[in-house]
Amino acid sequence: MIDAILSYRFMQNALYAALLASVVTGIIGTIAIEKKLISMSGGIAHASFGGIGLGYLLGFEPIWGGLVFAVAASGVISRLPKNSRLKADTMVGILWSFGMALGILFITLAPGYMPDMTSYLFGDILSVSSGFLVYILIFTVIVAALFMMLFHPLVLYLFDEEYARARGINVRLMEWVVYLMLPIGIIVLVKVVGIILTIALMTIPVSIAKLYFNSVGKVVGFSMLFSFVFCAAGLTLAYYVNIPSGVCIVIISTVVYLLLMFTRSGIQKRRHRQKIHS
Amino acid sequence: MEKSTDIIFRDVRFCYGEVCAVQGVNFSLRGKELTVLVGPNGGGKSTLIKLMTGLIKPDEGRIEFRKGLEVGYVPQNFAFDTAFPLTVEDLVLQGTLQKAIRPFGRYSYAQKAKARSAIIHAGLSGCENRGIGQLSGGQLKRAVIARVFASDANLIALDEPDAGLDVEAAGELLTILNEMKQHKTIVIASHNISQLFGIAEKALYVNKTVRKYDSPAELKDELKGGISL
Repeated sequence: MIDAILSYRFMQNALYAALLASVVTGIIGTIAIEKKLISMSGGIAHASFGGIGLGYLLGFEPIWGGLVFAVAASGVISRLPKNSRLKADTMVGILWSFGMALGILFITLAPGYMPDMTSYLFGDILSVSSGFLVYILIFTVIVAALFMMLFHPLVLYLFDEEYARARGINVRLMEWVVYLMLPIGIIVLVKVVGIILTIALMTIPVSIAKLYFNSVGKVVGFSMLFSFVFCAAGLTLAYYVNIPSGVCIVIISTVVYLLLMFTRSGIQKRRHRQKIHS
Repeated sequence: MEKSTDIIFRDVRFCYGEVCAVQGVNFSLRGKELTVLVGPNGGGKSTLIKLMTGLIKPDEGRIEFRKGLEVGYVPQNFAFDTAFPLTVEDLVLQGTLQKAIRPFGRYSYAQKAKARSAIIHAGLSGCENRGIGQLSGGQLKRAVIARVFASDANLIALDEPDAGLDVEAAGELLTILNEMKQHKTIVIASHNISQLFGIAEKALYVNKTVRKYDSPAELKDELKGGISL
C-alpha cells in the first residue's frame, strides 16, 4: 500500500511538504506557545488571505501576496507600544477580519471564474507542486537558520525578557527575529493545513512534546517528529477518503493529544493516590 | 570615582508618570560589601534596584558605574512561566551568556563548569536535569540566584529574595548570600531585616529618598526609635 502511495509524484511532493512543514511547526509553534503569541499567529494567518486574494486578482503567485500581508500584519502588531490604548489583541482581531474581507473582495473582483479557495482555507498538501516545494524549502531554511543561529539568546528572550534586558542582550533584535519568523513559518503551514487550521498544527505537536520533555531543544525536535507523523497519517487518510488533508491532520492530532493528555493525567492521579496510601 | 567604589547615585530622581518613586538620591556602594535596603512598602526599594540594573533610567541625576562593572539581577516576582521547558542546568547556563550575540554559539566547557559550580553553591546538586516546573518555591529561587552567580556580574541586586520562603529555605538563602559576598558586591531589598543585619556591612533606609548607614546596627537602633527622613 505504501509503495503504491509513494509511486505518485504528488504523494512524494506531499511528503516532502509535510517534512518541511513539520520543521517549521516545531520551531514557530514553540516560539508562539512560549511567548504567548498564538492569537497573534491566528491573526497573521487570516490577514495573509488578503494577499492571497490580491495574487489572484493581479495574476501573480498568491503565496507571495500572502507572505507580504503576513509580514505586514506581524509588523503592525509588533510595533504597537506596550502602553498603547489600542491593545495588541484588539489589533489582531481587526487585522484578522480585515485580511479575510480583503481576500474575498479581491477574489470577487478577479476576472473569470472564482478560484477554489478551499485549498487555502483548509489546506491541500496533495496539490503541492515541485515549484511550490522550492518556495516552502526556502522559507523553512530561513526559519531554521534564524532559530539555530540565535538559539540560546532567543530561548532566554522567550523565557525571561526582563532578565535578558538586564543582562544587556539585544532584546529588540530578538523581537524583530520572532516577528519575522512567525509570518514566514505561517505561510508554509497555510499551504499544508490551510489558514483556518494553521493554529492547530502550531499548538498540538508542541503541546504533546511539552507533556514529556523539559528542554526547549527536545520540545522542538519531538514536536517536529510528531508533526510529521500527523501530517503523513493525515494525508494518507485524505488520499483514501477524499476530504481536505488539513482537516484529517488536525482531527488525528487532536484525538492523539487528548488521549495522551487524559492518559497521563490519569497515571499521575493514580500515582498520587498510591503515594498518599503508602 | 574611587577604585573601590562600584556605583554612585548622584541626585537621582525617578517617577512613574506623575508619581515620584525616589528623588534626591545620593549614595555610593563599595565593592565586595553586602548592603541591605530597608524601608516601607512603596518607599522605592524595587525602583532603586531596577535603577541599579539599568532596567529603568533616571529622569534626573546620574548613576555612575565602575568601568567594567556587570550588574546581575534577581527580581522580586519572576516574570517567567514555570511551565517553560527548561531544566535547572539550562536556566543557570543562561547566566553565562554574553551580551554580544555569537551566531550559532554553543555553551563552552568553561561555561558549563561555571554553571555546575553555581548549582553546587546554590545547594541544587542532583537537580540539574529537573524541569524548573518541578522545583519548590525555595529551590526555584536558589536556581535563579545560581543563574546570577554563574554570570560575570560583580554586583548582584536582589529584590526581596526571601519573600514567600519558609524559615528553613530563608536560612539556606542567607548561607548562600553570605558565601557570595566573598566574591561579589551584593545589594538586597528585604523586609526580613533582622536576619540580614547579621551578615550586612551597610544599610540603606529607602523612603522616597535614601539615608545611608555605615553599620546596620546604627539603623536598627534608629528603627526602634522611629526614623524620619
